Amino acid sequence: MQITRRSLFKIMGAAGGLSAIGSRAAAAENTSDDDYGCLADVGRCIGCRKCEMACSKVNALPPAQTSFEDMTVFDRNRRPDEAAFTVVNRYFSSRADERGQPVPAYIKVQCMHCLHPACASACITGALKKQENGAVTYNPSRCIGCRYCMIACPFQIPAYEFSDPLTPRVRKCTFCFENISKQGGLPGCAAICPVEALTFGTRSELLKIAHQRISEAPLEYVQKVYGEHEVGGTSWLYISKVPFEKLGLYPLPEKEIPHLTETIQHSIFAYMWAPITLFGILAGAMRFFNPQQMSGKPSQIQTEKEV
Amino acid sequence: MKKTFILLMLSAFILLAALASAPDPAKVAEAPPPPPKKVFEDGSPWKAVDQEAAMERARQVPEFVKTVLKESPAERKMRLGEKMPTLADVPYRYMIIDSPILKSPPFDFLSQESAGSSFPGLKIGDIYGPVRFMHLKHAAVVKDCTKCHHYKPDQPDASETTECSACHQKPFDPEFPERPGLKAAYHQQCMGCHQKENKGPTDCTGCHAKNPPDHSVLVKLPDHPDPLMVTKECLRCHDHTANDMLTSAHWLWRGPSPYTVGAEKRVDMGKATNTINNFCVALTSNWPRCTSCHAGYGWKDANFDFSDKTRMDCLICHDTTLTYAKVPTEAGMPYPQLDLKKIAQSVGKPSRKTCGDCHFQGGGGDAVKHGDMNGILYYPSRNCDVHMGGMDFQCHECHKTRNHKISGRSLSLPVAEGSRSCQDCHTDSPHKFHTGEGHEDHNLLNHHLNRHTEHLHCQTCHSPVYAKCKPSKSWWDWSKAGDKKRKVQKDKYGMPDYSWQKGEFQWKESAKPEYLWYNGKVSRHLIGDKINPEETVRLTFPNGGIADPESRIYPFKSMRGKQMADAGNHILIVPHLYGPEGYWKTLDWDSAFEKGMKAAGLDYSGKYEWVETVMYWGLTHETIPAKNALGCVQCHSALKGEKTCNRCHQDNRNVNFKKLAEKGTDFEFMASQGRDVSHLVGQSDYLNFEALGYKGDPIIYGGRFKKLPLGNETAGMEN
Amino acid sequence: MSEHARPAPIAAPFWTPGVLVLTALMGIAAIFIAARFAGGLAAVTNLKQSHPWGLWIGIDVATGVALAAGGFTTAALAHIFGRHHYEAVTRPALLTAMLGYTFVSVGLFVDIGRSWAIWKPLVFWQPNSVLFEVAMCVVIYLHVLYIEFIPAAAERFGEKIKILGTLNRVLDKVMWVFIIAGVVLSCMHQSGLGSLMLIAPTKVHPLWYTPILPLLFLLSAIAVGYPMVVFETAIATTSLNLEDEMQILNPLTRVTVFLLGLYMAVKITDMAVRGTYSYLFDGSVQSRAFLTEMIAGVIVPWVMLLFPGVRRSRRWLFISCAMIVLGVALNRINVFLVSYSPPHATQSYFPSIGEIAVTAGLISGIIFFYRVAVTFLPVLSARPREVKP
Repeated sequence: MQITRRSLFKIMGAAGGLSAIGSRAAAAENTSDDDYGCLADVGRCIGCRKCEMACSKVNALPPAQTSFEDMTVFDRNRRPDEAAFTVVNRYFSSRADERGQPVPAYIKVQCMHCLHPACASACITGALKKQENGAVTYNPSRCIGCRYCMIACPFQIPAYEFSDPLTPRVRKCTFCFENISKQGGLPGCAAICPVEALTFGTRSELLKIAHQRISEAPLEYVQKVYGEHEVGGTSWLYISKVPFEKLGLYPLPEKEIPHLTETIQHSIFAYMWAPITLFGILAGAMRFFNPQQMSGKPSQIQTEKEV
Repeated sequence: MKKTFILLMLSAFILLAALASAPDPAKVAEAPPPPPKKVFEDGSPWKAVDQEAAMERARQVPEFVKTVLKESPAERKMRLGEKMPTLADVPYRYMIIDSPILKSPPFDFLSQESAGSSFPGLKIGDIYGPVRFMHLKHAAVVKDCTKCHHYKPDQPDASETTECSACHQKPFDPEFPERPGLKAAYHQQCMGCHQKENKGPTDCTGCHAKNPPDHSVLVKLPDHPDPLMVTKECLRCHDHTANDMLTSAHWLWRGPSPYTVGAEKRVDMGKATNTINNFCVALTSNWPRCTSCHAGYGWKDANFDFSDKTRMDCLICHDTTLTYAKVPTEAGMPYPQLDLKKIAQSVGKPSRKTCGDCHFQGGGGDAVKHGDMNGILYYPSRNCDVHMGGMDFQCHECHKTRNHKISGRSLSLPVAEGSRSCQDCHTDSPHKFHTGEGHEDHNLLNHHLNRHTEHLHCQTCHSPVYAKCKPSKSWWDWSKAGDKKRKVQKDKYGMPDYSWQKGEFQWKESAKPEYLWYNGKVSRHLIGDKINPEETVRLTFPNGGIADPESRIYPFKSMRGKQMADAGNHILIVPHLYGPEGYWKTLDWDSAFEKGMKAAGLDYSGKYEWVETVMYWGLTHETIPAKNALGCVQCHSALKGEKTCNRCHQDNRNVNFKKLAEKGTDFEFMASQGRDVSHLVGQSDYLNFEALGYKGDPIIYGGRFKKLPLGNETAGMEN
Repeated sequence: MSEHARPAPIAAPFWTPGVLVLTALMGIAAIFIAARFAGGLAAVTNLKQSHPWGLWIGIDVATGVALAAGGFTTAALAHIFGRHHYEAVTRPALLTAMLGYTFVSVGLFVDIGRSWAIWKPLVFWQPNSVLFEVAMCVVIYLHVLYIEFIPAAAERFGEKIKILGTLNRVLDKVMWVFIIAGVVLSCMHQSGLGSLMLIAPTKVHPLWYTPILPLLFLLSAIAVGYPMVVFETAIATTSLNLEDEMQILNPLTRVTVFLLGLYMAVKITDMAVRGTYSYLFDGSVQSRAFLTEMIAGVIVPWVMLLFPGVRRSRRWLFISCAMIVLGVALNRINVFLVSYSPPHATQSYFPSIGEIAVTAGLISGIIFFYRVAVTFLPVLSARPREVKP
């Protein structure tokens, strides 16, 4: 389904209206300017797939089906899956080089580590969590395997080990949480990237770099940092010389994805007022219409017997 | 207890069996040859001097530069004016691009081997080796040092061309967020420029050699595996690679012959089918001896199955222990004493040793066949081969290989899987600049030298003698074979002049090549081709001529000899030499010829004769250091004695012309080192212009397509 | 209209061909469930990374919950609003709800990846999650349903099993709490189910994605409650050869006209407000599914029920109620499956044989145990049909 701009506005308009009713602001709040992030410069990526290799190695993922040097994988678009937390896809833009060959653009796909992650909001047990350093992590010991996170993720990132009968896990980029929690630690992909198409740093600093880079080359770069505002902001940011839609980075609302559901949840279940009120009304109705039920007299069926 | 007893009994039995079989010396294979000693000819420990110096430089990390002078190229030009750095400021021609920075935190976790990961043995931070970087070449092509050295440290006395690693060290430094780390700086700079200029590699292996993963954790073999088990274990992961190998020249000993005249489209030619030489003559009927150099096991007769991947010998090329060796007479089987498990667990990239074991030793011994390749090249001095000795080049670094198809070609065999030339790296105008003191004037020469590249192959000047460090066979007379009583004499190089099995030999050391015009095409005599017994049969001959613009003057070793021919059918004979019924056992030529010809499917008339044959071998290795290349006067005798440039140039330059033109290959020095070149000292017209078709020295008589504007009066100059 | 007989076990033979078929279907499902626990979800389902939820969530859970709404709607009508006239159908509706929710749990147990960890939400609370709310409500409601059913069990076995009788007597005094709690919990999670998909604004087709989806779910659940009772009673009385209970069912559907009409009105108004009618006729699978759901599942049966003749006719009443039931079922399938089109999906989802078999098996299970319950427990009040001479 292609979501047209119009329908998107409609959805968001409606959501906005509802959010006006619920006063409480949604989503987790433990994000700050010092969160780590990563800036992916699509213009720099050379499609070497080393990030995929490093990711696989650092996260001890199962062996890949084909070698990481096999560039024919670009012939079809891939998505991260249970065996690969990140993949690089190739898109041909409308730009052509001197010989008229279309110029490829390579884009690395992985978890965006949203500031207000829909997956974490959706997660029934809190197995998914936005950590204070920016990573959205997954704790398999809490997971029940409902896969609601996969429904929720606007970037379609969490993957599932459908083939595991008893202990399947949700698999997704960890932002190398353990590594980056250490002083000076790096995520595997950014560390291995030969051209620094991935820049690792604090999100606020990365935003500065991103804006500087795109404003220094206004004719080359799309004047937008993808992830700055999308779904309320993401820890991973993209800048590109090719329109983002052509790279599979579709337009997304600026409201955080869990906004609507969390607003509903919190406005209805604040102090359980809604259920209690409903209970009260129904109790009143029962008292009015069917008082003998309430007075603990034998139920109707037994009454009938007596009759 | 029981186990120990059984073991004891077993070992006793084995001991007994060993003792029983020990007295039969014929059954005990000789010990495999030891690995070549890593020493120079004089016995001192070997090292590749240029390479080690470059490595040492690469290991140094300069002090980190915090602030740089950021100026636009135009601003910089304004500031520097005349003081713009030039090629003269290039301190190192050759550099290794590598850095301890890339092996230290935060990168180090990439270089650690993590147990239980999906690629045991692979250190992802270590997939590639360092880059050999022709610094001067790049400087000369780019012409502007400041293109790469884009900023300078913000100190008045700092160098305008401060090294990259001074400013670019660790990535993602919070203090310098927009400054790339060293690795990215290199890659952005190199690949960016290569892409922009559409020149130079942009893929990983275009610059980096790839490090093989540690196979000691990957290879799973029982103790004392047989060779076929090893191959099976290799195939477990590398089956697709074996498919590439199935169609390769090293497996089939035949293949496409794009450079053989009249056979450009054929794919069946090669040693396995139809080529003949004047060394051991031909493969057919002599398989077990010849195929000890086959990258396979058990090619002992015409029925070898070339589709059986398990018969491939992976270790012959991929051994890194330098111990792997094949029994010379066992159809490619290795010495049984070898620890194949250990060898298989340490496989890696081929080396001069693995290639050299066959290619240096062709024709029955070291240095016999190729005039420019021999065992010295295992560990050569810089003077013997500047690439291998100075910079430790391995064969595959020039002979780029894809899918087990190895580029490079020779005259001796038709098969070619790609072509390599010096220009691939050194470009069509290779003479750029000479660094160091005393070379200032030399730079005036470059223009003249570069014009030579249209007419001369590089090695013509850069390898003025062949078999430079070890004598090579130049004459082989089969007709003299069979005299077991003849006393073998040593020639002046200490080489034998006779073998009762093979006949009479001559050897040459540090010999002057034959110079011929060569356009890359080869005429080739094949098994069964008719001969004229009155003439010397040219088994291989370079095509070309002075009038052919594609042709260049090329140095050759010519191998001459006498070999057997069918006097009735007028074809060369394929003799059956090796085996219980072969000549080397029977000393009966008639029977050997009959059996050989039958095996080759040819008619043998019963009468034989001895005909003279010649084979030309191109000379491409043993490049000497540039300053030892032939000098102007060594060929152009017309320049001898000139003191200035004003034969051609009107102005009177302040140049020591004599020093420039007369400097060249120092034969005197070579002779003092024990090389047999004293007769070459002071020689002029080194190439012999008349033999090449010129009237004489082209400086006087003009070039092949163009009269030089200034010769002497007799040449009819115009101005 | 005669007075209702009190509920009693029926005297029909148990092992009929129909029950055998149900048993076979359950057996097949059991094989596939075994395969799922041996080889993982991938071995049995067509679920993929782009489509993590399939038939089991769409039908076994979402539709199952919606169609079990008869339980709380009849309870509300009979016990809260005192329409004792309808009490004859409360027990079968309660039984349906109880079995429905039981099999919702079984379905979930099979569907979630770590079935053994199904208890974890009770310990690790995550109140931001709509699913958490739904899960908690369902768990509690399931218990409420069982408690509400205790009288029926006690009636039959209360003397044999003393504790049951005691429990029943204790419960009698507080049963009203559970009855009201059942309704409240139902309202909460019926709407909660609708909120579930609101977390995927970019993946759910705009025809269904509306902020009032929870309200629509609640309204449709309430609307489908009585038609579902009609639907199941009609089937039960027919197959068990009992008297039809038209005298109860007919007035029940009068309420439905209002409830279904309300749902229809809200839904159409919502569409008009959001302007999503532009998608109605674009020919996509989604537009056709939506039209089917609305026309065949809501509008046509609603119009039919407007006619008293339809309501009086046993056959036409059944047809119209069946249409409503199927309409709501289709709505749940649409919301959870048809409308779900993630932007990066390369393939669409269609359930596998295994998924269909398990779903069929679970539905058979509901019917089977309904049959067991009505055979051995006092659930149905209808008398055996008089054999006409």
